[in-house]
Amino acid sequence: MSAATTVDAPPRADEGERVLSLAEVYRAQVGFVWRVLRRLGVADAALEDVVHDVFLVVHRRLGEFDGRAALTTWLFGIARGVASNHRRGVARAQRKLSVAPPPGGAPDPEQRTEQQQLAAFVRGFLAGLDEDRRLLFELAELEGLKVPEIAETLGMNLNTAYARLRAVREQLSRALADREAGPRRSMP
Amino acid sequence: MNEVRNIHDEGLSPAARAALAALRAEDEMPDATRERVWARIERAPAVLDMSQGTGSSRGRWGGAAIVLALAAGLALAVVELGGRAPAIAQAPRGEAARYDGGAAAGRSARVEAAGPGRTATRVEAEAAVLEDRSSSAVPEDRSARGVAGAGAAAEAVPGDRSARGGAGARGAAEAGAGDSSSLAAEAALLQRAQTALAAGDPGAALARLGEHARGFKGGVLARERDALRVTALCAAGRVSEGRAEAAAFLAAHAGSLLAERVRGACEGR
Repeated sequence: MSAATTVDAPPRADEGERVLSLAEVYRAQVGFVWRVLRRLGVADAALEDVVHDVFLVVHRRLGEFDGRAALTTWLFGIARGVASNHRRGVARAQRKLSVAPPPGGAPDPEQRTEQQQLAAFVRGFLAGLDEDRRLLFELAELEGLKVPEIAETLGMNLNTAYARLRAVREQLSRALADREAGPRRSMP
Repeated sequence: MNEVRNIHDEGLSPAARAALAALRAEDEMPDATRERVWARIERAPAVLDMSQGTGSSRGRWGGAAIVLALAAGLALAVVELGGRAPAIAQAPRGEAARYDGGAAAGRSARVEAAGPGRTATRVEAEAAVLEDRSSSAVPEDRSARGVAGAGAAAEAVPGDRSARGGAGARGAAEAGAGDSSSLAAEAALLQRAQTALAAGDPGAALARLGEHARGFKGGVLARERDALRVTALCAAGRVSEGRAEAAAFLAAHAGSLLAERVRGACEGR
């Protein structure tokens, strides 16, 4: 990153009200944005473009970030809006296609490592949840966002959010225990 | 980058934590992609305009973007008048209290300023609108989308420009087409009013706002002027006038970003 906006230190929690630069936010949070966009259903082939679009919006709106919510929560709001618009665009484009492109082939299960199999299992588990529960769980457990901020962003009652989070945690733990006990016995 | 942090481990088995770590590792953005996307962002016209200034070679959109960014800043400054908003997070109760202890862990890159502003939901909605405009305008050309984005950013000055109406109302596109100097004059005048108000001189602020009203009756920043005027009137002790103008403003622009501040402008006076 060699733009004039580049700064070396990533944003830190103890730096008070200083203004963040685009390069700084990008360097610190692009991974978060990338993962969140995946979780919001953006296809791998479109991720680069959508990340690009998210940071153009961030660039325009960075001066409005006021620190009331965590930077990640603010970014999630932007990413969600851009992803939603992207999905609408994709849906429009797909309606115009007479032949849908063939889906990409999944890797041979035999070639997957145990870690990959585990990740695939969790991905399948999460895919079985409704979107609110899935996003709540992913943002809390995988991205470390605060539950009150997630609840507000998703328009969810705070106590409901905590209750759902605990339920999904227990559900996943049980599913993994079942998987250990006997392969493919349990999915949500 | 961000460490995986579970805000609380209740209900999550060690196997589940390991599985989540595996999933997260798979979801990481490749370094090469990270650099490639950044290179594209750096070259985006909207970003170049902001980081290198708006020389003539950048064209009219660059000038419009800067002027309107100034206007947006001014509008936000109007919003800031009157104090700070309460924090969004409330003390958890009931089920929430069970998790309260670990809630602070796992945070990344938080700026601890406690100021007025908008929730992520609001930003999200605006981002969707912005992106919808830019993508529908130039759906395929990525480099051109930055320019379209500058236009969208121009429209992002708080307030619904399409709702302004009237013969004098000017949209962002028009501003980009040649009214940027006029808009800059508007913004500068309101900035002076804002500065006077912040300095405790509401009389001077009202004088500047009067100049704006005379010079830019149907100006792009008319709404920002009206909101600032409510605050200035109340600060000058003309509370009944301020309340009357606040009521008129809220009746006309209930959904405006400025509405909350206008609503509270005369509180306690």
